[in-house]
Amino acid sequence: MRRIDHDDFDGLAVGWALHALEPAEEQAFAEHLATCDRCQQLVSESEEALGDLAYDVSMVEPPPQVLERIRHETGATDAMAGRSRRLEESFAPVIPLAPRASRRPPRWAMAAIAAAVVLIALLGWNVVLQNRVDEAQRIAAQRERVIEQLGNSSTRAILTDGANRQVGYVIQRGPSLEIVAGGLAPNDRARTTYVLWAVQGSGEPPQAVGTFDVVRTSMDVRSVSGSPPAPDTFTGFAVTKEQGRKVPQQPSQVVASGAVLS
Amino acid sequence: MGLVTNTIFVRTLVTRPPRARSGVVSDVDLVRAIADGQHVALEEIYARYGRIVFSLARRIVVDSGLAEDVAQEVFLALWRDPAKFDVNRGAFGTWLLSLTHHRAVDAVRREESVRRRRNKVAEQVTSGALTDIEPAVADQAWVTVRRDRVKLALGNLPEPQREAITLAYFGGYTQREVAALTGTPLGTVKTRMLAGMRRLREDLASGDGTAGDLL
Repeated sequence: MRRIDHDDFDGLAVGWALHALEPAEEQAFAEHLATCDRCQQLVSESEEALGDLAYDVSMVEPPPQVLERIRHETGATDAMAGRSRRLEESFAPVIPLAPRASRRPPRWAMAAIAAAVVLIALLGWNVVLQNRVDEAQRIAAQRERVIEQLGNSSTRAILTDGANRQVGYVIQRGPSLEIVAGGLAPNDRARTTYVLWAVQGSGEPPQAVGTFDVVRTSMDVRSVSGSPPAPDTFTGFAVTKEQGRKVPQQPSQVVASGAVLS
Repeated sequence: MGLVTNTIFVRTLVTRPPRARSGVVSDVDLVRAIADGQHVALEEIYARYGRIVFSLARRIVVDSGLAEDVAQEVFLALWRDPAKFDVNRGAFGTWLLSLTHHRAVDAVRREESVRRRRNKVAEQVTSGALTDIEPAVADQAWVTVRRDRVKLALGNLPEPQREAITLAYFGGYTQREVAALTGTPLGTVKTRMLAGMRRLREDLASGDGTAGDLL
């Protein structure tokens, strides 16, 4: 039997990361791994790459019973569950769309209406919390402006962050795209910029639409510089936050995204 | 963590929406809170990772009911022993997905229906239909961007390397089983996996294929 050299261990390290070793190999390699920095590094790097590979799947929401079972097993109380519901509401205050009617408006119009309702709820909630008259007046004026703008626009996408929470909308008003931001962190307008990307589902690289800034955490409408791509050529939007004030060749940190509303 | 700190932490969670990458409440902080017995932290982690954990499990086990069990196992394992995640050994998301992959593969190997499922997966892998077992329900652009980059990196691999890695990762096959399935010597399979993984890492690390964790 030939002596094992470290190239053999490299192959085993990748097999370990893939959970693809036979039981006897796995046991033997575990002993080696505990004492080998090189293999620990290789396993760690391989697991990192495989963590990305995990995203090459169709995304499906887990059924509600999964969370319920976890709550039950962890001994989370009903009060805890109630607090969690409030937490979810705080993170993503969503007003359901109206029931389907026989002559309902187009989907984009319903989304725009829903967006306006959400904005009103959000802004009203802020008023109660802050209990400041001047703030209420400012927000009321802002609300009027947002609703007015939404009234002349169509909603192209609802933006959510990586945790699936709504942080804004992409709306189209005339030939231009605008962002209704409500949850994106204000950026340093001297050093950073947000970039809106159109994402194509065909494997083509994302196409930069333009840049915009976020100046406040509350709801605000921000214009996107640049021209929107032709409809029907892309499937969604993504928002990245970039260092510098120019559009990079490739997106870096995706902070929000949303599928195009048909 | 003291009571006052706990109260502040929970209030922060309840009143301030964490935003991706803004660092309001990091994954690591949430894991620390889980170690402190805070259910709300586990729920927040579930909100961030429940979908990808369930989706990955479902992709591997090809059965929604079994995927539910795997997802439950993963989050319960985190709850019961959060110290298993070592912050010095990589990102939390990487660790959680690795745990998910291991649990899903273990579930596949336990199941009586493994032969039928494996035949189905093997057909898909060898025919190149690697993407969807069922139509996407809730794909989003954010995930699409990340997935496109991974697809690009996978597409850059020579076919034998891609086949070996995907059969092991998504199919749950051992190296020996991959060798038998593809009619390739075991040593060649190991070499292909090693070379493919190196190439994949390089492509993803160079920005051709990678995206970061959720937070």
